[in-house]
Amino acid sequence: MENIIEVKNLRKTYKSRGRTTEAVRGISFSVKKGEIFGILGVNGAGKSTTLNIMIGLLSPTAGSIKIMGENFFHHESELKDKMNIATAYADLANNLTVYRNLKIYALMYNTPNHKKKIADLLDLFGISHLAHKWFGDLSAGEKTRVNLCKSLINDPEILLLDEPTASLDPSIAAHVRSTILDLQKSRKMTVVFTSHNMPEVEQMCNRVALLHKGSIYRIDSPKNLVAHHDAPDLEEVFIRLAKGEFEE
Amino acid sequence: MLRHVYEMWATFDRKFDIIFWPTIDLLIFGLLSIHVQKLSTQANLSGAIIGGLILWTLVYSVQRDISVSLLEDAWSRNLYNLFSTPLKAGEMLIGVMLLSIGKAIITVSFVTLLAWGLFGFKLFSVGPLIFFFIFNIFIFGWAFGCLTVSLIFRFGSKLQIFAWSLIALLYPISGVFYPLSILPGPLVSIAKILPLSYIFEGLREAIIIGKIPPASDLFIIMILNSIYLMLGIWAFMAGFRNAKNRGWFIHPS
Repeated sequence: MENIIEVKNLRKTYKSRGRTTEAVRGISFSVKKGEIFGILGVNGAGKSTTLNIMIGLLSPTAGSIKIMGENFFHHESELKDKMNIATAYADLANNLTVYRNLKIYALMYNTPNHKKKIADLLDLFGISHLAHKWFGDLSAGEKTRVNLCKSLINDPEILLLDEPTASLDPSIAAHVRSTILDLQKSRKMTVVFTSHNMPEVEQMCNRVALLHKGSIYRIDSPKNLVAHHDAPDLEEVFIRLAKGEFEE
Repeated sequence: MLRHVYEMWATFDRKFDIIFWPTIDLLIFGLLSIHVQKLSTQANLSGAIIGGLILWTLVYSVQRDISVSLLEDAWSRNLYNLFSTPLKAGEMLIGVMLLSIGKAIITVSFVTLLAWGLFGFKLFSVGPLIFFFIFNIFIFGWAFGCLTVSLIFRFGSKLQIFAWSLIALLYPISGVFYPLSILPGPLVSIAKILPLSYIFEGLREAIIIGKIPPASDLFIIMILNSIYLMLGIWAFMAGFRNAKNRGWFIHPS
């Protein structure tokens, strides 16, 4: 299978008040078309920074990203048309209804027949009844599901999900996971995924990159990672990673 | 742009901004101008004050709308989603510029009609020149709004007060209500590099003595505005790159 995403030597350094912080330290990885690729790491490991650079919200200090064979930074707008992102840490406009928020994003992506598309997505995530409610009045879990609708409004070929189920109760989180898996299978959508929920990662991801202090420690399938570390499950691998047991 | 139109339509405070303060300003300055007119022998002084106020309202609202549009998305934590779309910085800027035209037309039309109804002042009696002034106020307002946004991009939301207040630095030295000749020397030098001062001087002379400003003044207005607009757009784009480098669209604080 062809690589749809190629990240090479990606580096992000922040300088503030004379202090330098290296959030991402020269990471490289590639993702194949139709794959669900997980990025795991403790808070501050560089997961969200990596996703934010991949969607053009943050400039890297160095490195390159190729999306569908094109240099992302030279063709950012065209490539972002085929991508989307959902995160638990951003909102839509609070003073607008759910429907109007989604309509604005549908227009920005030139989504054909946006009325039907919005109705279908709201139905898919079980929130059709929220269409005419103010976004600012929704609960965290409802906002997360509206954000997921937004992330699918343009039928993206590449979907970036930053802790997409963080604020959902277990039953809704399970529904969201199965919905994303169904879409990924039916559309051959590529998904890059960050999460702290290890069973979720084991269930969803074909391969996982373990990120620690801005560097990639290992990339492998969840099954191989568990076997390689002689651990009972991925959660144990994650705990050892967080404790710094894999540091050289 | 549609997002801001919806927001304006849906929220009381956005509509309030467009109508309330311009009305209060007009009432205060309109009444003051009548009082001043009674003390003065100069004909149409009252009209010059009201005309100056209406055009200043335009300056204020155009520049404010450029930066407040961005701040509204920052307050909603919506910048993250907005800039993860194919939207380019230039497209966003054009959108808020068009929006500012729509909002300013509502504000100025309302205040102009009110000034006519309450004080008998007809802004458009100045003739076609008024359209030249209004067009150039839009250009300067956009340029100044871009500069304000660039500062917010660079230094963060702690400078958001600039969206409403930074333009006030130019209020006393733009000759909105009085001639530049009464300003202290150094301030005249600053006023001379502002297109606004030529616009307000020209408006006052057109209203009071019916004299059209010399072509050289109109030319200076256009040249200065071209320079300010280029500087404003450059500052906006540089600020945008800086904000993207710092991750401000992710954590707009």
